Amino acid sequence: MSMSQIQPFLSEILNDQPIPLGKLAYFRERFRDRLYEMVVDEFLKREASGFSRADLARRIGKRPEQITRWLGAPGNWTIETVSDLLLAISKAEPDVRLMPLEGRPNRNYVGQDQLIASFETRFEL
Amino acid sequence: MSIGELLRSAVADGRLFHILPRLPSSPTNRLLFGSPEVNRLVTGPWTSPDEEYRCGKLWEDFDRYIEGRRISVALDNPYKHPKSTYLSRLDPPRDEVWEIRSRDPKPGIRVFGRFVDRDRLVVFNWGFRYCLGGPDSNEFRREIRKCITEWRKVFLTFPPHVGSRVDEYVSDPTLSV
Repeated sequence: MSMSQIQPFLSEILNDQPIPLGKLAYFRERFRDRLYEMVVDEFLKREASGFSRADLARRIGKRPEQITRWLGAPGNWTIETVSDLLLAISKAEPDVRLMPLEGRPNRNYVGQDQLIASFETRFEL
Repeated sequence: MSIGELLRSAVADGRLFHILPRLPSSPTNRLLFGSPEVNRLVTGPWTSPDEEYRCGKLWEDFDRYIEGRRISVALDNPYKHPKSTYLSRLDPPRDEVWEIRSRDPKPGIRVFGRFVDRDRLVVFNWGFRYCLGGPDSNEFRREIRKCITEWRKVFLTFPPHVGSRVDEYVSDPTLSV
């Protein structure tokens, strides 16, 4: 089966070698997305109790369209954006913790094959 | 032969690649298959450090979908969805051609594909956003036609997956825009 996983992705990172640009880019974007998930989860919780995008916009002096863009994707977020959004949505500040990359179990390839198999089964009925 | 067998056959002989999350420990909750053209973007070789950096960001964008993280999806408003939308069905909707919108950093990249089933997206071609013009430009239409042509090479006369709600294409968590 053709899979896109190539040589060990974490080798330079875990062996104190220079980290290739593509991997730096990958983890920057991943970090940004973690913050995005936290902010959107918080917003959806408050939205369920009546807090709107307009309310959020008003609290931080932005236009509602800007809020819609920010909640769509974290592309142009800065640290300041995250701080403003969490302050206005949750009346809180984030508590950042580290998650070591070393020692994590590999994904379950059997489970993945089952995912594909279940899909094939549906179409072969 | 079923559409599932056609997919398996294409992956087995290298016409499609099963794109996996970059981190070996990350889960696969949605499936993404890519043509060699798209797979080359994320696995290299790259022609410059800028391209390597840009494609590192693109793979993390793919991982948002694959790992089942929250993505924003536009089903019905191809010309009016927010610029930050992650996944969008293109016009005309009956063609069932979708784009993954990797906007940052510049140059933005659009990756075109069709769903085989819910959470099973096959992407065939891509373009830099600045080369594509507006959403109804000739360049955009050319990429849509190319996507349909490539689909037919793999899946013959099987139609793409069709749905009327976001959750019929992509499992939660999503943000419908």
